[in-house]
Amino acid sequence: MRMDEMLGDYLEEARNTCHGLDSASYRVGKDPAVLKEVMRLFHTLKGSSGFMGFETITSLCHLAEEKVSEMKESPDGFAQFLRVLAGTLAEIMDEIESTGADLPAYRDRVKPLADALSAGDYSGYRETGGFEESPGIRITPEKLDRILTFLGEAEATKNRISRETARLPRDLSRAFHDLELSMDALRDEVMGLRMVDMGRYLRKLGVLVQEIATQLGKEVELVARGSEVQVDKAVADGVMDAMVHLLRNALDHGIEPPQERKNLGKPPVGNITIEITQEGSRVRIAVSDDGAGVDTERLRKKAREIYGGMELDEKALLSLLFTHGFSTRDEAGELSGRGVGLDVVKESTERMGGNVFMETTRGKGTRVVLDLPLTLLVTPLAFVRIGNETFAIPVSSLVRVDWREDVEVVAVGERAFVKRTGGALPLVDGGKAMDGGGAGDMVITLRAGGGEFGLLVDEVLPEGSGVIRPMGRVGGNAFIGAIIGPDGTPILVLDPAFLAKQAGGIG
Amino acid sequence: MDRFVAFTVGDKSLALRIEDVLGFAREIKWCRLPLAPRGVVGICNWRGRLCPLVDPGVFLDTSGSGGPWICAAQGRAGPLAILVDSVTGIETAEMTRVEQPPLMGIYGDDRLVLDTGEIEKLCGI
Repeated sequence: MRMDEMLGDYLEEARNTCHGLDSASYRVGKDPAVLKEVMRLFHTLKGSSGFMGFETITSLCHLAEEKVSEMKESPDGFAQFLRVLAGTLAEIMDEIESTGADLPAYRDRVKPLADALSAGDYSGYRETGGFEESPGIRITPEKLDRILTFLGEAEATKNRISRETARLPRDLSRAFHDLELSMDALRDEVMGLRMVDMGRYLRKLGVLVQEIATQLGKEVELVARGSEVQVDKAVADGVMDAMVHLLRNALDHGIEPPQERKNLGKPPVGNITIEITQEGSRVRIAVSDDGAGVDTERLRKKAREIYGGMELDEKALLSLLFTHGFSTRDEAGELSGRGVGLDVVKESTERMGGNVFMETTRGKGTRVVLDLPLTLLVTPLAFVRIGNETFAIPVSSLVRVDWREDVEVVAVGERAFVKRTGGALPLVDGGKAMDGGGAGDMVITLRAGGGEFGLLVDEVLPEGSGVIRPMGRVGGNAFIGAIIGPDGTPILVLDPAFLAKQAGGIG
Repeated sequence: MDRFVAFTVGDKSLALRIEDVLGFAREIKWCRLPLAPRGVVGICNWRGRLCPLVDPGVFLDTSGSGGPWICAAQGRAGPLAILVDSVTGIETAEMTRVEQPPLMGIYGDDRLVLDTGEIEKLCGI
């Protein structure tokens, strides 16, 4: 079994244990058998944590198991203590999932719990009762996602109705408008629940950087900017692996050892900067170091060995570093250099609808920028240019893309068809349909209304995603809605069902 | 007496009741809306909300507005962005009601007061 699989299994089991402890806490003092159950849970977690080498959790569970085994009855405050302990462990599990490491900071985090266990005094955790002390409601990300799914479905229904409000009686139409406003507000509120400060993630990375630096015998100062930027938790979680890879690379490949830096006329302490900025609906995370930079000549030599005499410019050369299995190192370092890492960074970034690029200067340092959406509560979209305008189409409707010169278009009367093996698909001229003109250099095949058809467009642009906002009746039947593009300009989202009708009776 | 925000579109002197006005902007992000109803120029981003961008000149027997101002007003279906040539200012006046959509009244010599709800109706919004 691979290490990441083992970690996954461990985390699943550990989270179940946390859940079990939390659940058991509500029976403490009521069910005499619960202490045995709690002891067993600690014993199980101790074993698996020990196997994984997570010493902090192992020690805490060992102590807890020992103390609970000595209990004849539940001490005052123990139920609440168990809930806090379960919550703390669950938070640590979340962090281990991101970093893969048992960080020294966890020892400080669990120290008050260990102290209470050692002293057998849980009075500090006693529930005081009363409304002032009422705890907040916990909601898991999975539950929140389910709420958002239902909200999305409700929005889709609302959008369908919004096209027909003209047919509603006036008072119903007004009531529907009120409903729309409420749903907009609800969506914004629920989406806001998923937003988290990047600060807590940066703090974790800060600890990790110092640990790795110590391991490598390097000295480094980490400067983090933008901790107040809020992003979707799914994005923040998803980008952590990439960030860890980038920091490991910066420390292993970039920052030189202190003596070498002195010899080069640099300060002995290296500098790594993480800068997070929000630009419209995107978040940019830049990781830069003042280390050695990438040896582009060595990279070019390696590229020639692999790709023959093909000459690549610097941008293309650097992009090779994000290719699976590509490394300029002949031997792998302990932390990086195996040709894995940057490809993972690229893959995870692109999976979230983002992209990555690198800038480097030999001897001065490297800067890697991740450009990501602020939220994943979005629809994957294909973007096309028709005439001078950009339109979006849900990726779920996109079947294939062809150059017009690569397909055979036949005209039958006033209608056009794209020839395909075993038949022909109706072809819609996007320029005519959108009243905008254009050359129609590309044919995209879309699926809608139970059939497929071709759409003539001028250019297929890189895919992206967006939160589709309804436009009400003004959009007619041609558009599902619009998204607000990266620079704030609305981009209309074409309704494939409308185009299917234009194609001639499909749907 | 009522308060109005006065502006011009083409050769027409127009106004909106001050309580209908959400704000003015000189630069706004917008896109053309193909197959749009008459009077609707496009869709714009008004402080994070998408709303129709309309040219009232189309309904007023004038050359129409090319902007550069946008007046955001509260319509019945939501915010409505109106293309405006120049902003005159805030005026206090007694309005005489008229039944001539998209107008709700007139004050002064020739200041026509727009009814956002009627603009929406004419645009099919």
